[in-house]
Amino acid sequence: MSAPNPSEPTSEAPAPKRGANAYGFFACVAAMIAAAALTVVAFLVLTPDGNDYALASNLKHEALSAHDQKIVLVGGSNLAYGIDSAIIERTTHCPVVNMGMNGFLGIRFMLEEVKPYLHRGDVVVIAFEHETYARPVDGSSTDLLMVTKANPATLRALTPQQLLRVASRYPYVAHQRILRLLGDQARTIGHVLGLAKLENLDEIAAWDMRRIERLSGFNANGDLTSHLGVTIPDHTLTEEDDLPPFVLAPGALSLLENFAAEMSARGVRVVMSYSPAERSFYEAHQAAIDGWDAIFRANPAFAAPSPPSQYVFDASMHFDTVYHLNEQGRAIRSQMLANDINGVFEGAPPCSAAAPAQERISQ
Amino acid sequence: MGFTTANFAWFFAAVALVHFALPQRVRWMWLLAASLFFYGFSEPFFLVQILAATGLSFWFAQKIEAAPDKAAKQKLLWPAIFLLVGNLVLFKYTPFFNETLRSIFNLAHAEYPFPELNWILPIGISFYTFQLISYLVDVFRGLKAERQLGVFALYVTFFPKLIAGPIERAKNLLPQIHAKPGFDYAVALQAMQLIIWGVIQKAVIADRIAPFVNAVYDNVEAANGVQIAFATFLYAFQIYADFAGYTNMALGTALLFGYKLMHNFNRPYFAVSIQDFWKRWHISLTSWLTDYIFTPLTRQKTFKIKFYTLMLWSMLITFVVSGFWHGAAWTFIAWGALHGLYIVISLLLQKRWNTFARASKLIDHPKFYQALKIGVTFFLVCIAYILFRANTMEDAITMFSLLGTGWDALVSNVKIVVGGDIAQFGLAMLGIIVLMGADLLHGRVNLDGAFAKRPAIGWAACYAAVVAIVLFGAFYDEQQQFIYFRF
Repeated sequence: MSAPNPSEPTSEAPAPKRGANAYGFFACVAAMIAAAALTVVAFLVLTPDGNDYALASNLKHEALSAHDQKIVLVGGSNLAYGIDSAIIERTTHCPVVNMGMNGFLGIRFMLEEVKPYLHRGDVVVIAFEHETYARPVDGSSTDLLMVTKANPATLRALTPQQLLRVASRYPYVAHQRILRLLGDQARTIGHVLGLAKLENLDEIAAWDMRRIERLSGFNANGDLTSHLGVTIPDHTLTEEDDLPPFVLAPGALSLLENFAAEMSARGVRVVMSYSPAERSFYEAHQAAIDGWDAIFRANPAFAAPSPPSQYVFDASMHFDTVYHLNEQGRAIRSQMLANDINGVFEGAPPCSAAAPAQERISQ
Repeated sequence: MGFTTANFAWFFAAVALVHFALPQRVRWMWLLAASLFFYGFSEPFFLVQILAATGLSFWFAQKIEAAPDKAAKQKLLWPAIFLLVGNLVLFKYTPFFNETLRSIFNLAHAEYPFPELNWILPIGISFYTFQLISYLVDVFRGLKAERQLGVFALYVTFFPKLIAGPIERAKNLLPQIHAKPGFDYAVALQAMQLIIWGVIQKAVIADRIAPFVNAVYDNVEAANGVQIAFATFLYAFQIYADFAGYTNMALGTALLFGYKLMHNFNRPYFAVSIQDFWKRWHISLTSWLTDYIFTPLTRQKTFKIKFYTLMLWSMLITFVVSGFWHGAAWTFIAWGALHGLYIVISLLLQKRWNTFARASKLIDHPKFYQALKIGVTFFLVCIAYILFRANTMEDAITMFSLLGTGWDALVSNVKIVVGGDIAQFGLAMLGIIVLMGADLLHGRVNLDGAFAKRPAIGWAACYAAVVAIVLFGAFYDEQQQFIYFRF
């Protein structure tokens, strides 16, 4: 038995508070999980994406900031593929910013994203893919994550609930990143060792949409141009596999109405336009699409110059999907939209003059 | 509420935080409340059912204990078991019997009057029924019956082991509940490591392997022997990682609250015989079947047959029961019967095999001999897995009939199963190596001891494991189709 240490208290030490040890332990667990989460985020930020498509969001925001009076096109990939801003600029004399991107970002984000940049005299043209009205207004958290990661300024367009959902997608995206990196390495190693041919990689490379959907595919207005003059061999037009029932999604109409009211108060004109649609697709969903058009027309906050049926195109004018136009369709649709905008302003161009976009941005 | 869901994570965190804030003497009540919430979360009716079964068993146990003699005890035991088994049969097996009768009627070209029954199977009913039966039999055999209904209810419904076991014995868990365990840092660290290892087994290994197995088993007509054999080989690791992962999460969760549940696995794929396999695989079930089916059968006096013959028949019956317990389908019954046959045949051939091993000097090369036995056992287990995993008996028969095909193009058939998904497959194989590596090193490397001595290393290992789970876990995308952005 050892002698008592005089430095130690002679009386019994007070019992630890109930659960104190446990809470210390749980605090360590929380810290460990937080460190792991930060590691995953760091991994995601520090390793490059498989393509740089989402970075185009920065380009579009740069264009939004560059003009005092402008036409802003709000929508998805139908705008990216199907708009030649130069045509609209020539007709309207207004600089055009095309916000269209591929991905399911949701009505809320697409409207909130542009709000801070809109001022008196601006024109907003809304042209969502038809099914966007039927899908959840909060969009895909995964796609939102990719955009907000590439352009953190867009985080302010998200609600707290959306932010939480986006944060929850980090594991999935990090996991997909790992799979891509490992897959590339495995194929390369297999090829070097002669164990496997790069047949899958070659096959993908033959028609990988990464050729089209990348940052360098966009011009300064935000139009995608990399698909122009390109034909996908043996390709038939696609539509989404799991189209929702074409019923207006909860909250969609109120979001649009509130947006229109707010813009009206600011002196911004809101024009409702429509995505181009391949003829058979439109006919399959005509009742719902025309019904939505009727709702917009009944609301004076919206100017809806042409019905959706005006934006129906033959399959020969499409690129890869029922919404994506090729070069020929794009030119026709752009001119139609330009005329529609002028029509809203009773035939007069909404702006007095417009300099070419590239010049304006470089200023 | 599966263990790898966000709902469970929140539930578990809330339960743990409140648990340790409460006075030690009332913590078991909180765990009982949490367990009942956990069970009733998906379907409140099931809660009524399990509480009724628990209440009845509690009452019967008191009566059995109080009964004056064995005969009187038996008169109470049998109705209790009948009610519990009846409850299990009614909810788990009625649709199966209904469909079997329909098939028989169809064969006889007669009209079957009853419609198809699409009943929802109460979660964990097989586990808690076996647990309650074991408790009643143990009380019949002399175990002191539990006096507090609440404590007994916690023994039955304790959420970590409620859904998929282990099938706990009263003599193990009830004293622990009465002991009202407190918090222990070293034990908690060990518990967390068990949980994390369980999640790795489930989310990183089992779920990663699953798509390759499903691709073959869900499209049997298009498969050939090589693909079936390869998918079955993968399935062996999938089911092990899945079940062992779940068990480790259950053990870890319980351990955090201070309760030690029994281990369910002991390096099963290093078994040297089928008998040995069953001592290592789903140990809580095997020991239950041994104690409450096999042993009573071998002691029966109705049939006057030699003890050895009786033992073999008892073995076969026990394994058929085991198969039927696993699932209400002919595939499971056949699976159980096949394992029973393996053991019966191996026992019958034991002497001849030993003679052969000596004559061929196999026993002079103990390592090779052991590896051979492990390989043969694993092969036999895999053959039986075809029955276990097949969606229907017809599928299983088709697969057995196809087993000889495709071997002339071995590599290309394996490639078909891999499906060009090299990264996914690479991760799956890496997972199998980790899984079996851990088993191989078990007992040789004392990680628990190392972590206990240097907690910082333990925490670092946990951190690395959590990162690995996030990066390598088989998480799937939310419901959306617009994945144009490349990760």
